[in-house]
Amino acid sequence: MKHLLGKTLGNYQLKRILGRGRMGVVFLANDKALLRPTALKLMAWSMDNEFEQDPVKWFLSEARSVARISHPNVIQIYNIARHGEYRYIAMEYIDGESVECALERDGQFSVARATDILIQTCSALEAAHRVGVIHRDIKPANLLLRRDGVVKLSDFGMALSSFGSKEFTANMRVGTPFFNAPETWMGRPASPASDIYALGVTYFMMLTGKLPFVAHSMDELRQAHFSQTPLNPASLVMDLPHLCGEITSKCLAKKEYQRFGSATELENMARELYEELTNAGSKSATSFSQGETPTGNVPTAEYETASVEWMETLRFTLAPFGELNPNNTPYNGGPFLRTYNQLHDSVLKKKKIIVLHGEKESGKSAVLRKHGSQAKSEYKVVFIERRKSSPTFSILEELCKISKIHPSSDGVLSELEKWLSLDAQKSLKRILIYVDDVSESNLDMEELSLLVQLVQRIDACSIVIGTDTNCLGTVLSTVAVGKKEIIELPPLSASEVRKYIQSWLNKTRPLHAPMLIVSPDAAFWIAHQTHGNPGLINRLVLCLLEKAAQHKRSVISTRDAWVCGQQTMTDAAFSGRSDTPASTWPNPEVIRVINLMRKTAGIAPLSQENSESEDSCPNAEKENMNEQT
Amino acid sequence: MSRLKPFVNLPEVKHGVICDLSGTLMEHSSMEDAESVAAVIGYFVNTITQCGESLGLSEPTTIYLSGRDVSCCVFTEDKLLWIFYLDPSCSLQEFERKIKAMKSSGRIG
Repeated sequence: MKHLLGKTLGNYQLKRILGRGRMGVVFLANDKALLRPTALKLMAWSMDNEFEQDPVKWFLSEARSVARISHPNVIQIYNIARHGEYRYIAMEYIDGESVECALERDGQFSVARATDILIQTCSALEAAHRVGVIHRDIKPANLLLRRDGVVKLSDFGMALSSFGSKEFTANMRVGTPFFNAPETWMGRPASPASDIYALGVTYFMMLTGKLPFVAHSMDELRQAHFSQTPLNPASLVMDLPHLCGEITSKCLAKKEYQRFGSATELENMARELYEELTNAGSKSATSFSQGETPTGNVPTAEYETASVEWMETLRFTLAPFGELNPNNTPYNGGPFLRTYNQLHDSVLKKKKIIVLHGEKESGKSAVLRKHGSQAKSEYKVVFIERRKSSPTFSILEELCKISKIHPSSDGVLSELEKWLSLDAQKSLKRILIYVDDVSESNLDMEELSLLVQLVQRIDACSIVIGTDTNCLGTVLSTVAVGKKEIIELPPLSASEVRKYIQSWLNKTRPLHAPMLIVSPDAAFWIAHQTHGNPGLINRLVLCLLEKAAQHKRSVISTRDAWVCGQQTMTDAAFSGRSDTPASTWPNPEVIRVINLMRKTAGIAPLSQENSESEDSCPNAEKENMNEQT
Repeated sequence: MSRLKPFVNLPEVKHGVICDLSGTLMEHSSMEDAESVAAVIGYFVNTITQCGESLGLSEPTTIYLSGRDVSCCVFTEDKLLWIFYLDPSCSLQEFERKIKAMKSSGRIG
């Protein structure tokens, strides 16, 4: 495809070839409309033969898989288009190199660097798994390192998603043999645990520069994945912390259930190790922070990137903002605390059915999970939630799985009843069943009614349902008034929004990273834009943090919030939430809203003289603002 | 009416900002990024106050920050922070005396 160099496809002028993959050729292109470097993946028709499938569908499937994942550590898709006979995916260009290239050059990484890459990849994988995408080809070549140290997970060409066109390969072993988990060698479909296995192999390689299993033939390799105990990396590299061995051994467990339950679980252990290294002032950690980021033979930067210290801030703060992670909530105040207390009271009062209702992404899961983990000491806790890989779920089926009762057996309900009653008797504890993520799209009303009836028949059992729907009326009508409780999880108030954001920032900021402060007025504007919905706040703050790191700013101001809000407004989630047109700053509408919010909070409005005088800011500043908008 | 005006007219004052303890901007003298200054000083004063409390000191009333290019003087009064950016060559003690004199003559607040 060299003949295409210099040619223009759509808005993209092809400059040079960055690499060739199984699915196509990747070019560095210049986006002539947006004036930014872009990676253009052109479909290679030869892949047609590989699985005898429609290559266009396959190609589309890759783009759609990635487009579903919104995460700073996953390569971003800008566009997918066709130009004449060429089909291409336009995506984020990474100014850096792959982990594979860096390993070839450096041999192996320091513990801190390897662990840092592991943490970032876990974060990306969790985001993919949450939307039902399994990567299936995690390996050093697919982890790209930006010059500033940020990892980007790329090449979803083999990914399996709940909606894609690759179901026919679900049971097929795809990917790279050295990284394939035992279950995929057996022809079973890949799962999130298979990605964790491959990531374990990658981490082992980063620590030692070697593969955990050595084989001379495919059969030998297959056998090694099945039965050979992987080496402890500490036996190959002196002075490795013992947690490194624990991580690789758990990732590389032969059975899926023996591995980390999720990428977040793995990330938590990796963070523990990273903190241990940082606190101990480990030599490797220090050397990394002083610039062990990839600086080797990489393409010249075509646009300014933030410095390493700033990216440190970004890296650690973006993860929690990327997604509201119920297992890791630094902010437990405000409505979360009030709702938690209400929930606790209802459980103490032995209410049979407790419904925790709140908008989508309002933090219900965080409250339920926190309550569940605290309740474990006094109650027998059963947690049921929609599986990451599936858009729907059957509550009874999940309960059957936990109780090991066959779901299609006759009298499954009475068997479940027996099991729950016996369990309560044996453990001398009340049983709390948490059902999370019940929404109109996945709700089986009949099934939920059956479960509610079942719970009512067992004395020592209550059910807590987390839902965003108001359609549970029919189900709840069978429950006596005194036995049910509906708890509302309200959005964050304007004053709580700042506490919420600042808690994330303070708790996730590593010691050596610059501080980040959100101005109170900016928080007011964010609260206004998002109506206090944590999910929307997360998305807006994500954009703000990227901007802060890019411009090396330690304060997020109202103008920043307004500019990012304008950009994020294009997102469907924000549509209709503001009608402020993008114009020059200061925007009278923003000032009016903020002064109103100040009034409600008992704060004096900003002096009128000042808001007018800001209009007279220097021209250069004005130009800069216009550029941002 | 501007509370800052009498002070920003002093020759050693480059800029003036008033904010509350949470760092919310109340007033400023045409300073480009007054909102950020207010947010940072608010954060800083809160941190210093907490440190002072753990050392058994009472709330700070005056804080000086001296840099090569600019000096900054922060007065706390009635839950408000008065922030003045000063010429680094000026005497901070002299400036504080001047402000206190203006305060006592009723020209402040």
